[in-house]
This record gives sequence, C-alpha cells and structure tokens, in this order.
Amino acid sequence: MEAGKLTGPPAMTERVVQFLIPPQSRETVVGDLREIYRTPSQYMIEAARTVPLVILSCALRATNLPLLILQGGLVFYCLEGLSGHLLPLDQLRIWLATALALLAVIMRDTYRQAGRPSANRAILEAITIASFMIVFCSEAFGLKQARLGTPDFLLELQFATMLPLAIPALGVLRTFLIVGGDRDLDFFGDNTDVGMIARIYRRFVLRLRFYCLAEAAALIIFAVAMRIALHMNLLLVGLCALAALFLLFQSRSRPIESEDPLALRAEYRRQLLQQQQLRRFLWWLWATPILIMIYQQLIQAGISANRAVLVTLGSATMILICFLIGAVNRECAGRVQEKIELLERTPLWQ
Amino acid sequence: MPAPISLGQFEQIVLTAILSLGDDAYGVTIHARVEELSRPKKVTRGAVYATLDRMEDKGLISSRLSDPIKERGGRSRRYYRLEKSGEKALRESALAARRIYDVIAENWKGAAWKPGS
Repeated sequence: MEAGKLTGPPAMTERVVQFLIPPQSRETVVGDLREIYRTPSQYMIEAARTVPLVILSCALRATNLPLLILQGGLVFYCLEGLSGHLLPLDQLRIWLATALALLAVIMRDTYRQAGRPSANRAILEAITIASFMIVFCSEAFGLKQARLGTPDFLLELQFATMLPLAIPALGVLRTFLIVGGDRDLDFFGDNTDVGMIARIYRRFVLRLRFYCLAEAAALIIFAVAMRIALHMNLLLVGLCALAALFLLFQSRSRPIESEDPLALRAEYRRQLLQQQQLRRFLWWLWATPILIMIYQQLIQAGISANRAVLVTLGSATMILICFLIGAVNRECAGRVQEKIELLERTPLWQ
Repeated sequence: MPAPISLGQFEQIVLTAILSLGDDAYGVTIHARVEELSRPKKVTRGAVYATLDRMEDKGLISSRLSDPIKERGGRSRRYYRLEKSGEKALRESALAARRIYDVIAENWKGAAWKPGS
C-alpha cells in the first residue's frame, strides 16, 4: 500500500468535500475518494470532477416532478402570482421567487440528513420558538400600556400569561413524535430477513392505498366546505382537487409481485421517499387555507382596525402552525431516512 | 412480457464493468474498469456515480453497503450487482452490437476494415 493511502487527504479538504456531497452518497463517495488518494492536489482535482455530478445525480433522484409542479403552484398562488392586475415586472419577480423557492426545496431534499433530530435538539427548538413568541408578544404588550383596561389589553394580558404553557406542550409533542418514530423503526433489526421485508413492504403498500383514498376524499370535502363557508379562492380549490387526483392515482399502486428481495427493497425505498415528499407537501396544503384565513381575519383586520392585539395573536398562531408542520416534517423525513439506511444495511446478498 | 430497457453506450460500458468485476464491483473498481473499456476516452468518476444511481433507479442493478473499512476512514463501500433486467438489457445490447459488427464486417471486408483503427 502506498504511503499516501495511509495518511489520507488533508482533514480540512476532506471535510469540505464531505460537506458538499449530499448525505445519501457521502459515505461511499468520500470513502472512494479517500481510497484513491495519492497527493492533496490529485485529491482536489478528483473531487472537483466528481462532486458536481454527484450533487446533480442526487438532486435528480430526490426530485419528484409532479409533486414539484404542485409545490410550485402553491408557492406561486401564495405569492399572489395569479392575481390579474400585476405589472409585468411584478409578475417576473413572482416567477423568480417561485423558481428560487423550488430550487430551495430541491436542495433541501437533496441534502436531507439521514436521521431525525435528537430529543435534546427537538426540545431546544420547542423552547426557542416558544421563548421567541413570549418576547414578541411582551414587546407588543409593552406598547399597549397607554390603553390600560380596554378589552384588547385584557385579551393580551391573558394571551401573554398563557404563552409560557406552550413550552412544555411543544416539548411533549416533539418527544411524542420521537418516541412514535422509535416504535416504528423497531420492525427493522439485526434479525430482519427477506420475508420480513416483503411483509413490511406489502403492509406499507396496502396501508398507503387506504390512506391515499381517505385523504383524497377528505381533501375534496375540505376544499368544497372552505369554498362554501369561507369563499376560498377557486384556484386553491383547484390545487386541492389536483392533489386529490394525484392521491387517487397513488392509491392505485399495487405491491410488486416479485420474489426478488432486491427488487422489493428498491421499490420499497422508492415508495418511502416518494410518500415522504408527498406527505410534506400535503401538510402545507392543508395548512395553507388556515394560514390565509388567519392572515385575513386577524392580521389584516387588526392592521385595518388599528388593533395590535389581533396582529400579535395572528402572527403568533401562524408561527406556531408553521413550527408544528416543520417539526412533523423533520421527524417524518428523518424516520424515512433511517428506515432506508436500515433497509440498505439488511444483508440480502453477500 | 415487457420489452427490455434500451441502454445508452455509457450504460452498456458500466454494466459490462459490473458484470466483469463480479463480487468486487464498487465505485473505485467500476471506474477503473470503465476507463479501461472506454479507452482512449477519459471518464470522470462523477459520471460513473450518476450512471450507477440512474441504473439502480431503473432496477438494472442493485447495491448494498459493506461493513466500515479502516483504510477508507471507517466508511463503507457500496457494492453493485447486476439484476435480471440488467442482464437482459445488456444481452440485447450485445446482440444488437454484434449484428452491427457483422454487417460492417461484411461490407467493409478487406483493407477498409481495420477494427481498432
């Protein structure tokens, strides 16, 4: 063995390469580059030739085109890109912002970490968000001193005293998600064999069909109800209908009838990733009408009526909802990555 | 019966490399064999990884991770193996290449036909 192979590449260079390569390919590509290491310059040239194509390949693998189109539609709608009275320059800005948001989504999928956040980090996040809200609301409360005793003042006082309860509530919720995830992963262990993977996969597909059908029906009912009761925008109703159609299409998937464990594993892996991306989008789709409603009923109405308490209440609720969706998505994505890693380490052939 | 997946030239080369390497087919060895098969053309490592990913998604090959290896800084190797659909696609490509070869050899017989020139 050459001397260079014993020493390995400079630690800093290797760390940079490791940082640039998406997690799903990191271990093998960085390991391969280390195995062929001869000199620092050779390592850097080799890395420069390898890394861009690896990133591109991982991005293509992580991208689900129909879902990306739906996500683009949702972002475009939220940025009011469908509003008829926009100047060409504003239209261009909205298109650009949508493209950037989609690029961020692709990069986020590509660089998703292969694990869930730790319990400590999860609880710390909950404390941070709740503390931020307390500071935010106290600030607004302080500005209202001049109107002591008014209904807004009392409402704000109640609101500020209730907020500290959000810390344990959010902490418990995240812990519950983590514990639930651990129980889910118990299916995979050192004794996982081919038969077990086949059973887990078939059960996953059957459950998926049921959930897709149920969620498609719920989405249509929700969109129609929101349209009738709250005059939800027709385009958002259309987006919900499109998502429901996509779910119906997904519900037609059947477990593949292959006896080959590798084919089963590859299919299971593909479906797990696809479902995780779909789930993330659906959480945001469900929340969008609620967020829009909060914005219109509380924030916008508060600004028009010069009532800071409504603006504060609306903002805090929106922050909380976004935090919860983000937390759930992070947990689910991490769980899927862990499952995939366990699947890949299951020895199906030697 | 579904039609076999048609392969691009580079995919054929990568599949041939995996086939010839048998149980020792992982990133480093596959790239070395692909370079050998593509001579005199240089092949970047990134192109090989991208093709491996794509073919794995198509179900032509499958992969597994090895145990961590000390010489690689405690990282695993990803070993690849040809799947049945990959073997079938490669066989179809080889037969098509042979048919092309036969026709060319028949038409260019004599001085004009110099394989490798």
